[in-house]
Amino acid sequence: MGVAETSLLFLWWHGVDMRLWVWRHFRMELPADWEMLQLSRDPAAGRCVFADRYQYRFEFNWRQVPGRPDFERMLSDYQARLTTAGGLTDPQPEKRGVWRGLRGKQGGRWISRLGAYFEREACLVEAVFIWPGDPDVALQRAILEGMQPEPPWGEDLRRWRAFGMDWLVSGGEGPAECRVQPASTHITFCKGKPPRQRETFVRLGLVPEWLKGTVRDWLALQKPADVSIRRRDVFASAGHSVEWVEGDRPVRGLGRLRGRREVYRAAAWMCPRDGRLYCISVERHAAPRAADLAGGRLSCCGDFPLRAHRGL
Amino acid sequence: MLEAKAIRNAAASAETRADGTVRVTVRTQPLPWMTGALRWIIRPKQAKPFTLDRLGAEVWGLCDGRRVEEMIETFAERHKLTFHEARASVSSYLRSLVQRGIVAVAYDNTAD
Repeated sequence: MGVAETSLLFLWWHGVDMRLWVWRHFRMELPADWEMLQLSRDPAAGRCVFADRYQYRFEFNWRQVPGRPDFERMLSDYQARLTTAGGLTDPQPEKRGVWRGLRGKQGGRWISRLGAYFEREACLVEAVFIWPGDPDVALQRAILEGMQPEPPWGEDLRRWRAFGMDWLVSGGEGPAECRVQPASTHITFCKGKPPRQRETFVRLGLVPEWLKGTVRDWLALQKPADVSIRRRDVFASAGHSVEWVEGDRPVRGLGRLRGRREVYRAAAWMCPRDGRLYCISVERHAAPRAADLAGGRLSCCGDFPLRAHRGL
Repeated sequence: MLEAKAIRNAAASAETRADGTVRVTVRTQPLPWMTGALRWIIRPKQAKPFTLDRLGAEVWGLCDGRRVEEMIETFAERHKLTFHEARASVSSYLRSLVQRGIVAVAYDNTAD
């Protein structure tokens, strides 16, 4: 049993339910009642902020850097800056595995800041813990030990997991668009400029309040205006009834004169576990088979896990 | 806000309809200068009706003096939402109910 497993076992024993998040190719297990309230889409530098129901609890900051930074110097500069301008008092150095940082009091609260450099991702990551009372060393340890780069799935697929969805996207780009509202999440990834490929992942709640027809009717309405639907079907998998459609539309530019068409594929289903409506749509020249989108690219629950095979 | 309690306006009466919506009527106080002949001529409305959709009606139903945090927990459980999702919905409904004068939000200073 590894150290991370030991820490997670400790938290489980103490009744801390943890949930996996994967954002910007990093995985982290955080207490299940922490929600992502702020997010960045930029893979080069950004920040995600998590909060429990009372206050901000955790920040995940990242910055792509060309090489391993001089941690000792960076830390002493950081500490000096926080002490003079940030009002940090009582700073104490912290070290946990690859993580280096400091803990101190700021605005009457204990805050732990730890950073690590991940070679393969060429990325400097900072984890900031904001403690409502005394620092919870076991929780901090478990979270830090679980914060790791999420390796690619297959040749080109990258995993993301947030807001109740678990999905695979081709390419390493960040989301082009993120609309996260209560019970409504739309995340779109685009590849190329202008976009040659567009993948959209949707999760919608409060379904009985707004869905008056069937999932099939709803899915038909989601297609872009210029898409012609050629095929539609339904299949059942692990208790999920998945509606899917395939269509195409003329490509833009010269390709249109040559009669080239762009593939559109989409799948939608209700998850019986959480009662939410999930939808994935892919627009590109060589999209995966529509029947492989549900579960293959977007997963809603453990009954319907991600699988990156079957011709993806 | 989570510690606050949402209390219905005692001057409001509610009528639940078959489709799950609720029609809430609040008695209004006449303006102090609107008396005598002026009041007879203008005939101001003595009550303001509001129709709440099903979710609004549910939030209204939860305004029974319990803490806002408990209201959010109940709403989240009923609709399979996370606490933060339910908080956004309940807070926005509560805000509109307070603006219409149907509900008041009170903080208990005597606690502790």
